[in-house]
Amino acid sequence: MGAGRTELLETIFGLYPYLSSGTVKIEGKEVTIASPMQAVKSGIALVPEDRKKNGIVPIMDVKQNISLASLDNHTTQIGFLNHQAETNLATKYIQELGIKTTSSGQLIKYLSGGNQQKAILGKWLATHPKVLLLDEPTRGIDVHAKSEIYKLILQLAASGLGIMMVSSELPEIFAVSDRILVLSEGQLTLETRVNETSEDKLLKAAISTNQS
Amino acid sequence: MQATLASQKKFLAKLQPLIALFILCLIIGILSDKFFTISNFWNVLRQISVNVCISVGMTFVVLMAGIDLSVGSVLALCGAVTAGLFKMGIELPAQNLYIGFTLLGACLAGILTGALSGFFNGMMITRFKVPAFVATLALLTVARGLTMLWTKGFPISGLGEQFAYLGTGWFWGMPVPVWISAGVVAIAIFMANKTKLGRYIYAIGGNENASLLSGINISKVKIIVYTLAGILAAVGGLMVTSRLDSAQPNAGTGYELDAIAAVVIGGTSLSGGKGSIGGTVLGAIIIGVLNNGLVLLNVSPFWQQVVKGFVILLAVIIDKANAKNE
Repeated sequence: MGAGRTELLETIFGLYPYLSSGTVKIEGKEVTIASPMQAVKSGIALVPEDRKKNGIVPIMDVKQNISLASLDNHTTQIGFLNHQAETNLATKYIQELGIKTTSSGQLIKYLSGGNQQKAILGKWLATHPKVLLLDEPTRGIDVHAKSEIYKLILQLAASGLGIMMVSSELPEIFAVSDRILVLSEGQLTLETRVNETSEDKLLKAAISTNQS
Repeated sequence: MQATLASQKKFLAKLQPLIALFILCLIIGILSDKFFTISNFWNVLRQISVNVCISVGMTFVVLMAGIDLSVGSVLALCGAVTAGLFKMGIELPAQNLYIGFTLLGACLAGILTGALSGFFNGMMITRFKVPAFVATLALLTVARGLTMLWTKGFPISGLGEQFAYLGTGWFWGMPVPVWISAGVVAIAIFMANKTKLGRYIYAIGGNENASLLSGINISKVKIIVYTLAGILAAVGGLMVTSRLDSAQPNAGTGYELDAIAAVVIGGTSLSGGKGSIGGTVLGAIIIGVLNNGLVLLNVSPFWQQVVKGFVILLAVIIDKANAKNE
């Protein structure tokens, strides 16, 4: 609690433009991000921790949730929607990510947590991001869907997407990470490669304050 | 099998307002022989055209979980601005200057007034985080006060036949105000279903946080929607002024409530995200038929208000019951 991990992701994503110091660089170039809108335009995507509150639009169908962040690519210059392009996009990610839904027209609130999470992932992949921020991406998701999401994360990382995942589950961290950073009370207490550390070291860093 | 049953149920739920309208028409038609006449048909449609215009703007606002209480006053202000400019122009004695307005120019000035009013609402709500209820309540008072100042408390009358055409004329067998409101409805339905703006409105109403985190410019969408509501109130103002051949300083009082009633009866949820323009039009027609029927049956106008209130309650209760079944 209060390690500042979610806040870090939200700050990178432009939610606290007036409170933050430091710089964000994408592909070596410094970018200014003062709002989520700018973050998305700069190629950053955020899968938030609280799916119901911040992730899905429950009254919309799967298709509309998937296309929500990339509507600019599916509209004409003056803002008319291209329903066919939208359906194609949704179908593509439903297949690629294995989203279990009766159709792309199903309301997203009727999907299981894991499938909702995959749809949100699809929404962000549709924006062709450079950096993907994941905040506790497997919270409240059944074991099978969890393993599917790990597989996806590894695939995406292998394809060259930069991924920053926040998690408090150690097995999950060791399963998907290359590099691990530990935050404690808002301070960075450890930065290490995954093969140079152990669960003990991570736990120690997590409960230490920054004098250690 | 279950899925088709559920979708059938949903379909029936959508039909409810239509069935209600049908029954209402049937009852009034039996009780009064003047109801099912062509002249009364156009009469009802002409009477509701102002409310339809305002309600369409209100629907978009309510879909975003907002509210606009200022539309009635804005309607009066825009009508008065148009009437005043058209009749008297602007005189600047100090510069020895007189600016006259053509009919079109005066109408555009009125619509611009509506747009600015709505824009002001939008800015207060997004930039200064004033709750929509409070911001638009403030403008309700401000716009009414400005109307009184502009008209000095007296109606601006005698606007001429050309202007009267807007509210009383006929074109291709249909009253002009009905053409105008039908046009507004057609554009609004298109906007709601086929444009990015429409999608964003539903998304913001459905989950504002998720919309923000999807990179949608929420402030921009809100400002556009409140501006639209202002413009549509102005269009209503032109029609009212034209029909009465006079801009009344107290025109449009309580119209915001009629608009909200039409939106709610039409099945749009006040908590945002759910609803449609078509539903609102149906809601406006139900209110219009109800008013018309009660007049034809010689019921006191005071009873009309009582009945209308209960119809609104009934609509919301039915809507809640539907939501539970879902």
